[in-house]
Amino acid sequence: MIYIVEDDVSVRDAIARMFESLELSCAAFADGESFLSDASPRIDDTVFVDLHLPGLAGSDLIEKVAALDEAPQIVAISGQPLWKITRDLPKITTTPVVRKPLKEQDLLVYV
Amino acid sequence: MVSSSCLHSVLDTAVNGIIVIDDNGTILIYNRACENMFGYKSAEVVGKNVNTLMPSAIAKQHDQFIRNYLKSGDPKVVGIGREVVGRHKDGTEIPIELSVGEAQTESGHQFIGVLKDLRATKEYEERLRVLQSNLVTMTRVNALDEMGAAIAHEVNQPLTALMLYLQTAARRARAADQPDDPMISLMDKAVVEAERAGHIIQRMRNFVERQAPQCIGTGLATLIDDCLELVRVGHEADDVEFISTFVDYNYQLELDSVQIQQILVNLIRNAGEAVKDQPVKQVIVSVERDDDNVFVKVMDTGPGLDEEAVSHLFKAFTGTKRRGLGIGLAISRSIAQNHGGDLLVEPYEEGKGATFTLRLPVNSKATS
Repeated sequence: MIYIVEDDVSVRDAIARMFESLELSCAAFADGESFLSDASPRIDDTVFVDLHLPGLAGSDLIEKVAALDEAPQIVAISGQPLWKITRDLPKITTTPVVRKPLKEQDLLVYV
Repeated sequence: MVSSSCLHSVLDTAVNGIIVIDDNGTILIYNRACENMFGYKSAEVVGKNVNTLMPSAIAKQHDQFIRNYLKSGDPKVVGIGREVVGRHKDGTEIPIELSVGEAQTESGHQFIGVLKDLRATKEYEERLRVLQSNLVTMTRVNALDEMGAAIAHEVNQPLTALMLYLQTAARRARAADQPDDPMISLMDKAVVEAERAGHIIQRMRNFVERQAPQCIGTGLATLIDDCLELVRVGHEADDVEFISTFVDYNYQLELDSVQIQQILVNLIRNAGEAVKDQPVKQVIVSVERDDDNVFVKVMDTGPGLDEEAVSHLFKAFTGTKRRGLGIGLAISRSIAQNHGGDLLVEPYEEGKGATFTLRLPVNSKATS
């Protein structure tokens, strides 16, 4: 299962449609709160998290998900300048970051 | 009557150069300050024509100047004073402020010149000019960076969606029972173009991100003094007091001094504007420190900033000043953040002026 947490409606929709067209099952969420309450990711899942989210920050969500038992693979997505990314992701440097604008290949390498 | 030895001691004590010539231009007196100014010893020039001390173009005409004056009584420099150019023994030209008086003596008409060396003043003015033009350039470059980064970020989202939609659509078209080849070819071309737009954004971003701050050890107190100096130049007319209370001249900080100077000049200049029409016109720069941060505070005695004003303060293009784009504070904040610090404004307090706080991490390392 692939999870997408992305607040921009077009980007979220485009990513979801792309995975669907490859017959990969996926679920998309607009913010970290709804993801945490509705999704139950498992060890062989992948979660794409936009760093710039309303409410619960992307980096906090990543920390929470990474702390789960059987934590899934996490990939951060960001359109922010580099200094904001490094500021937001100080401790969890092992999380790969994909920067926007991106192509489908950039995401498919992780699934 | 003053004795001659006393007179010579007066001449040699004077900070300014003093030269006395007769009506032929012959040097009679040439004091010690002149020796330092021109490089000639008194013995080398006394008895010679004063035009020895002038660049050749003026030297040729100087005797004529004296004759003209003696004939017409129409002063060009006597009693007026002006900025002139002298020539050092090594040939270099020296800017000089010259005032000339005259005296009728038993031995004829004499002229007394008092000379002030302007080299140090000129150098200082030049240094200020260079500093100011550096700051203007930095402001422009940073404005472009900031706009570039903002555009890149805003365009990223739709471009990402566009790219993924196109790639997905192209794949679906290929997978159809009867593939529409011209259609697939069109979609592939569209993908290539979207990719091109993405590369432009990436290049722009790389360009901005390569310009990491040039961090070097800088004396914070000196840096603040320099900033105050720069701002004072524009405020000579109105009696605004610019004060720094930070005097620890040994305290060094790793930072990009030009960029930090730009922030401080911006803040101090704004503060100067704010107090211009106030009864008390003061701008005070102070420094506080804790284990992790240095806080540079710029305080003024202006009317202060209410909540409404504060909410717009750091947004680009919302400035209330007639001149400028209103991007100064937005850029200042992003420079501070680039240094791992921040720029904040203290909450409004009735009867108090505005206080801006520039926070910089100790051993501030650039994060980009």
